[in-house]
Amino acid sequence: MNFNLEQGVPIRKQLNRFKWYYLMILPILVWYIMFSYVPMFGISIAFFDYNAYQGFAGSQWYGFHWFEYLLDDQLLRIAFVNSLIINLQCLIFSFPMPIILALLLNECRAIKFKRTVQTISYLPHFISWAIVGGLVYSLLSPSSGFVNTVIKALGGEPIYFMGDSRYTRSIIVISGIWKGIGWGSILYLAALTGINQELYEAATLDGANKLQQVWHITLPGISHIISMQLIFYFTGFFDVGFEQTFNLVNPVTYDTGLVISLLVYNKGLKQAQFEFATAVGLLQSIMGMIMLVTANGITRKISEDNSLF
Amino acid sequence: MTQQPAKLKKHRFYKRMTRGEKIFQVFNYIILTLLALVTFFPFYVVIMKSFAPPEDFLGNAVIWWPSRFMADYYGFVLGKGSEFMQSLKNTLYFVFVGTSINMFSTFIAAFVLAQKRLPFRNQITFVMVFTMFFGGGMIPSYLVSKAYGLLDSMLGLCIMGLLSTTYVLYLRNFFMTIPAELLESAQVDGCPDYKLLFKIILPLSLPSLATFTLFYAVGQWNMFTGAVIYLSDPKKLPLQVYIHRMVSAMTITGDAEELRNLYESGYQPPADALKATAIVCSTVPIVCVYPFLQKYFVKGMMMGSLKG
Repeated sequence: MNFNLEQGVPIRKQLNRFKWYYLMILPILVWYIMFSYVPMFGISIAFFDYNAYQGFAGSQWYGFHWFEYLLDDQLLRIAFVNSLIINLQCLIFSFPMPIILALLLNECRAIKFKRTVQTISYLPHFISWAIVGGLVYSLLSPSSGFVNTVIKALGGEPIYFMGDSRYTRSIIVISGIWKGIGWGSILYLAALTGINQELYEAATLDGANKLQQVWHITLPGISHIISMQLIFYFTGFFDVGFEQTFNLVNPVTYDTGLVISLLVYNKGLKQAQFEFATAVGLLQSIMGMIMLVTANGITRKISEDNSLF
Repeated sequence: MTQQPAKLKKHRFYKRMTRGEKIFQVFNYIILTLLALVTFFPFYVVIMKSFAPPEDFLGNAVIWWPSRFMADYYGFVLGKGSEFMQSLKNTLYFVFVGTSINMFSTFIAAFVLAQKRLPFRNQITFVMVFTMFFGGGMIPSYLVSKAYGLLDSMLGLCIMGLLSTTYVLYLRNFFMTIPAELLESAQVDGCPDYKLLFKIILPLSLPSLATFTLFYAVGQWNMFTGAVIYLSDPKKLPLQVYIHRMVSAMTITGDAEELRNLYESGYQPPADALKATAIVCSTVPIVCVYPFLQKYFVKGMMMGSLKG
């Protein structure tokens, strides 16, 4: 432990010298305790029969009752499976997209063109999911939407995409790609500039073609970033973002689109089943932690340098 | 080594492009152009819809180009008494009050944590960083803010989102790059600490403070989850929540007089057009500050990836 104390100077004198600084940061630390640490202890209501009027004083210890109860819950099972499937689809389709974009941008020689593409591709990151939801509804509208216009032009029947649960997961995955591809590529592009250019020259002299160079130089060069992103990705593997699903999934499409965060919101805030919703949230974060440790462990087995801890 | 060999090398590199590489380059341009178009396309569609006259919507197809441009929907959406304007007012409250609170607290926290000799500095930092990895989750946070009496209060919501630990760390890292000699020599000259803050640190950090202000402001403009969880009074909801309700509820209200005018002149404003107009109106401010954002955010991302 490094307490940042100077040797030979009395502690009181050192503290006194910084008293104004402590006074300044005190309200902020109080805020952290009130709004971050107190809720952490609030998780314990998952083990109580919580009395909303009397708080913990009037609540009864319930043990693991809620956890037994939620294992039998039909909706939770649906939300769990949906979150898992959507994340698997994202892993296959969305995760590589920013990497591919970064590789393509890296090969682009026209600087102005490259800058323009980058600028445009970052923009969706700053647009809220509510707006993206509006854009998706507009694109997929059965009457004036682009997709249905194409379907009708090809002689098909218009499809009401937003109300058909067969399409919900694809909509979530594709909209996620649209919003995140540019922003996600920034990190990889930064890593790409760190690769030693002499390696490419040497490879060219040895007669390696572009594809071989990408495979043997570029990808290993950014593999530490890829594995870091992958580990973070696995931490959230049992949930899909609340804002995204809240704006793209409606009760009609719950059978494929209901995810854990939506369930927690509906159970906890709409139906006031606080203990149940907290237990679900707790279970989800524990599984996230397990995933984090597992993914990190596997990464360490494969390559020591690429693990996070 | 002068500049010349590098230039020569580059030139040779171009000449040596094989046929396969040339084909790849062409494909690369096509793919990147397509990506840019796909990113831009949804915006284009809603912009066209927001200007298209009602009869264009009867065609039941994409409106590539309105038969004539009319701005009447904007008068309706932005008119007096519309829900859009009410929620815009709330959002502006969050942008101004929320961002001010954000910046004030972020500046103080970063400034204190940047004091290299502050005893227990690491411990204080740990208290903050720990919350980036663990949290109570949605329901305990809700119950806690209910206990504090902050539910359904706009100022309460601003206080709940006091600061972002990530931004505090970025700004602290920036403060720590200010040379210690500069500060020490000022101190030796008898400059008191508070003067140091206003005369040296503040002017030096103005550009990065501007960046974080912009980041916070965009965050406040886009605020959604917090409002959905902690606000229930419809009069207090911000713009993004209004957009969500409008898009999913298929109804829209606006200036009553404008609506009557529209009806009297034979218009039936299509819900689609009004939605498109509201979406355009709430995206324009982001697009306006976007050039400034873009100038700094890549740098911000790098800072974060170097030292977290």
